Amino acid sequence: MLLVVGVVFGVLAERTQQLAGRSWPVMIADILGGWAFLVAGMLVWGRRPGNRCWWLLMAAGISWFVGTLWATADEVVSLIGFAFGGWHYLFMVWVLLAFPTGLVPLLRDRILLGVLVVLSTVRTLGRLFLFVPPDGTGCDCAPNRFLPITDPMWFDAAESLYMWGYTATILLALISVAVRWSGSSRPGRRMLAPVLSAGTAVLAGQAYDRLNQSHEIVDVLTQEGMFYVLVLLRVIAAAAFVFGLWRLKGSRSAVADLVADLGPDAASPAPLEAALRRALGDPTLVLLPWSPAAGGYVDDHEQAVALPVDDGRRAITRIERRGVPVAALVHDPALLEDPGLINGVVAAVRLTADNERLRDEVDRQLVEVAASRSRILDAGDAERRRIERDLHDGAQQRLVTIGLALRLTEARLGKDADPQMRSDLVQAVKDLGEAIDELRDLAQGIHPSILTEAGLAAALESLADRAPVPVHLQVDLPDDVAPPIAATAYFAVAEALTNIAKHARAATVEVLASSRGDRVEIVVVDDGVGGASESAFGSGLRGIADRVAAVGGSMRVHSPAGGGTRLELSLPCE
Amino acid sequence: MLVDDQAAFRTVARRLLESDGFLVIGEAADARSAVRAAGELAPDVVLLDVRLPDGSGVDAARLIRDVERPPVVVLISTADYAHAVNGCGAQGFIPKGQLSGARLRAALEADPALGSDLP
Repeated sequence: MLLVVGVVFGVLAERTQQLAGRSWPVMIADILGGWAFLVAGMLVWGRRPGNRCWWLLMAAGISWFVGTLWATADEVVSLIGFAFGGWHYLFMVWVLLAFPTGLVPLLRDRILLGVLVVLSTVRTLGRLFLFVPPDGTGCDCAPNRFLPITDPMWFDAAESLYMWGYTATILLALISVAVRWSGSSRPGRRMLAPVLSAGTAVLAGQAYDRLNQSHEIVDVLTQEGMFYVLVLLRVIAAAAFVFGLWRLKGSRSAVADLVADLGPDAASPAPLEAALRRALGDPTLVLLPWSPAAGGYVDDHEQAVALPVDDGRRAITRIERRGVPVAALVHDPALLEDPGLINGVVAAVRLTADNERLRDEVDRQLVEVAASRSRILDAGDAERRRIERDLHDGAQQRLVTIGLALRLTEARLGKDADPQMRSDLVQAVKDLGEAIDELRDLAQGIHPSILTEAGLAAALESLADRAPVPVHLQVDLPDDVAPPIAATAYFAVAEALTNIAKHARAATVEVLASSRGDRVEIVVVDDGVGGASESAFGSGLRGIADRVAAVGGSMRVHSPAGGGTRLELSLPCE
Repeated sequence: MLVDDQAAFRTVARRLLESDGFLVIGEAADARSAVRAAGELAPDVVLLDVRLPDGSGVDAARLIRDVERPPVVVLISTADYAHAVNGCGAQGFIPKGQLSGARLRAALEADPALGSDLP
């Protein structure tokens, strides 16, 4: 909306110039000189609406057209154009000093702006109340409508004060910017370069006005040529402001690059510091992490260091999370001129620190989970041993004793004993024997005592002996396999043999158990139908997989259809 | 001699073996007593339970081999300990549920020193 108003205003203003007899090229150049800043302001607003530079740029554009109104036939409008024609310089200098944030942080710059406002006001008031038009010698300026002043001395004095004061103030503003530029680091200078070019354009414009009013210009072509140069410089200045702010956008992108650059090693200070230097273009940047142990900031060698004095040559940005120090950045003060950049970097560093903290937390929890799983496994094994021992010492033992007693009773029956009684007794002994066998198998399945008392090799031999499918067993294991590992290997082989007996339709099975380095390797291969997928594993084998993982091992199953099944376990020895 | 921590089992086993012609001259309820009794009583055969309250019968069997007149040791258990026989110098293994004079006799027949004295 503002852009439309500005553009329409510019066209109407140039219309007055056309009526005043100005040439088309000059009018087009004049309108470009205003529109350039309007467009620049809109571009900045579109990209960074929070940056105040956009309205300063638009004000510089609109105020440029105000001066064009002086040529209109309407006296009031003409007077406005005459009185307010030079204010566009104020806005140009303002945006010059406020670049890139839109704020004017330095006191000296605020004073310069104040002086410019005063001078512009003096000029406007002078043109409103002190101007005395020449006495019918061809001047078509508006006559003074407000005061009965006939002496042009005061008006000339006000104009001279404005002209020289303005020129001096703009020079000082340029010097201020140059001082900022010279005191900046490479990134700061890169950021301020467009401002210097814009400042040059302002100065050239002022020089043009000065020459234009000095009555020394005799060649109209030279005057028009100067005007074209002025417009060109204004367009360049407007583009330079946009480019400068666009480059800040690039700095934001640099922060995004920084975040992307923060790889897995970036949590440690040195790679993070290098990434920050690259992102900010400040090779002097130093990252000092906060060490809770040291109670302060530390260097690369974990030695506590004092932060340097924030004296204008080095700036310090402290990074905190909920009031707790995270790190400090010691860097070029020029970087502070783009708060968005520093804020982005601070956020990135904080993010990195959070990531590191979360990673440590996850690692710690994983260790805890692994330890917890191991404890659960150990507790489960201990419980299995207890149940097996209770069965062995309790129910099994009693049933065996009862069985022996029944057999003894049977043996003592006389020849004339009731045949039915003898038959029942024999059947009872037989049934009891089967019950004892089932109970023994159950106890064996809960926890094979042979594993504890004779080791993994003997337990595997026992498994192979009892397997319904012929098993070729090859064992080369040390005697000191840790109990949880031995139990895991035993139960895995037992489950595999059970599955083979149930589903594989295998003729033979080969079980290989060996140690390789600090690993126990178990391989169970059958020549059955294969085709077992992991999803088709029974809960038994899935439980084994969990158990294998709990002791830090790995399990692989290869079971092509028609090609048998190969189960591979790799377990740590301890 | 019978070694088992369950008194009821020892009682029934003694009666069973004695009914088959064996003479049980002593009993023990734990490994330490078994080794001491084997030295004192000098039995021909020790039926030794593998799992005893104070240790393994397999270890006790090794100690019993060192007594002055070492007996033949036959391991017994409700679980399968056939694999443990060779490591401790035992003559054989009999599951407790299958204990009988005939089974013991079969286990001892492999020992030439006892073969002629078996009941």
